Amino acid sequence: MKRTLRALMGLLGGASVACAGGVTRSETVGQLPGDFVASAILEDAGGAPLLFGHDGGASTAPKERRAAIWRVDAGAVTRALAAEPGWFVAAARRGAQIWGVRASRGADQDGSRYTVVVSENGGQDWEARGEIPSESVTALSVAGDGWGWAGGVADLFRTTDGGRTWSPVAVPGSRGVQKPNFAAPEPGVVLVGGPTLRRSEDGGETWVTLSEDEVLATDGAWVAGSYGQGVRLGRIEGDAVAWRGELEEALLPDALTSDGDAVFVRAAPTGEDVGRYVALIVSVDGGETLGWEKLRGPSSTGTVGLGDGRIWRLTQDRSLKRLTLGE
Amino acid sequence: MSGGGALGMQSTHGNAHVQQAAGQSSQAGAQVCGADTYRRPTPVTPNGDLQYYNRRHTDFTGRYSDCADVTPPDYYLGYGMKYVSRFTNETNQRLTPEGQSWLIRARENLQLAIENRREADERDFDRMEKNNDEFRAFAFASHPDAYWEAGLGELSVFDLANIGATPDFADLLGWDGLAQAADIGGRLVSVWGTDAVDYVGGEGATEELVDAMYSGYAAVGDEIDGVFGEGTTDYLEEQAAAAGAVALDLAEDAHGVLASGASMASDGVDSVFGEGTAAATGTAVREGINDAADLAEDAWNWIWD
Repeated sequence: MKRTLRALMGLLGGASVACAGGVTRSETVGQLPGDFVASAILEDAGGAPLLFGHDGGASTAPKERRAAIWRVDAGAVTRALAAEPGWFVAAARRGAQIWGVRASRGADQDGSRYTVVVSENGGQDWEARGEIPSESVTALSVAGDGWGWAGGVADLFRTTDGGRTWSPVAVPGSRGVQKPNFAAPEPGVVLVGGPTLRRSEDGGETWVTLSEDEVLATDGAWVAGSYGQGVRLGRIEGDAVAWRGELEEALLPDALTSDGDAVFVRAAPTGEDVGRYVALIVSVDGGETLGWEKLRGPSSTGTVGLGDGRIWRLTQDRSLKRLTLGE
Repeated sequence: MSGGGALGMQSTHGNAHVQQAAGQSSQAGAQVCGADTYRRPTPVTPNGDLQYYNRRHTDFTGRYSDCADVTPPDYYLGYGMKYVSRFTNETNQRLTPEGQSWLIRARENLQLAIENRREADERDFDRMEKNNDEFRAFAFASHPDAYWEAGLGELSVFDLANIGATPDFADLLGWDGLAQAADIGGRLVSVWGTDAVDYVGGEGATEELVDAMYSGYAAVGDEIDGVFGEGTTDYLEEQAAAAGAVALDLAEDAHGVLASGASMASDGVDSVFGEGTAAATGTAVREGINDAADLAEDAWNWIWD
């Protein structure tokens, strides 16, 4: 698979993006506590990785977990936020705005509660904001100017005041059995994937269907969807998705980031390889050709973070590695 | 592709094929409930009992007994129960007491991972149960932490070897990452390589050294046969044969070093490991030891590959 990716990148010959040869180097940048369980890895405003999740180990009951955000910078591993009861289920960043959704569950509580914590200065200081009145939250997107979206299985919620108050938004159609996936590229605009791809440009009042085909991950500019038993990439052009290249591999896209013509997709294997690894799909030519690579280590997608031209990988022994993409 | 056929919501990556099959065999009167239907999953005590998986499976089928379009994830009976049963019925008796205690904790942790996920977000757990691949991916991803937190890193190398040798285990359940974290290869080499090097240092003659390399592998193989089963030693000997040329080089180097110092002639073993050995000699022989260890590690990797 690495050969495939490298051959692809070699064919392109000196693509300007830094991902041109697949993963060519793995460097340990920090050692997290052994009982840390990651749910999301982002970068702060300076490019240092922030790891959201919980302390206490995977076997710890939800009501006994301690929500944690760890920062790794120049080899130093420090708490970005003091540990509190609960666990982080999702995180997102736009510029210096970094938001996280912290779940918590009391001993006598029926269901989890979801509170948004926000940093306005790139992850230095944090403030707990409002509670999302949902039974399920698994995803979050920050749009800027106080706008943000959060959602789980059943509902999509919107905030326009920096996470202090949240309102439910009705999305037409079935949500399907796939993980909720949505992106908010700018204030008032949200795209919701699933069995179809829909977009609202008025804060969720009205919706346009951009694709009748399944979309499993999007960042608002690009989409990744299933195609037969494989994967395909598409670019959002106006009110439609222009499907580009395909990859005949049994992979299930889970997250997507893009930078111009370069697209990075985190995916999990399906079929016979299900649960064995996390995959990285890369295209640097506007989605025409796709290469992919197995990322060895834990198969939980929460242990892989897509940064700005960097890939972060938390290993089984909780060392954080920076995977370099290049020739 | 978009949502699948009459179900209208299933990806090819989901469990549409399972659900379609279920729909074909469902009883008359069962309805299409749709993926958005939510039936709250019931807690099942994660006590490590084999029946846990059966209870989870039954909980799902009971919740959706009137629905033709959803079936439980195949993990419960096809993987969870299957492998825990195999561990319990086949592997457990070959583990040390410490290994057996580990297995009890690991079984509980595997089930805790599922119950914790359910408790954390019941709606999402219900959705995930309807997505066969996603549920399997979640469950498999939970295995390494379950084993690790049960104390896998503290087990003896032979317990580790025995666990890793359980059929399909290494391939399916995240063994690569665990083996790396537990430094299983390094720990085995420390047992295994020393045996081989003892032969090397004790004799020092080229022919005997090569023989010793074979013997070193064979000695280890004898022990490993006890946990891996018959035939493993043969693999090791084949590996040693493949390494014969390298072993010969190593032997010649060691022989030259040994022959060059009269003080070493009287006590070959001490000349390898003991005090008073010239630094250059020590370095050369340690390199030989490292080579032997590398050969042993190669053989180890070869077994797992």
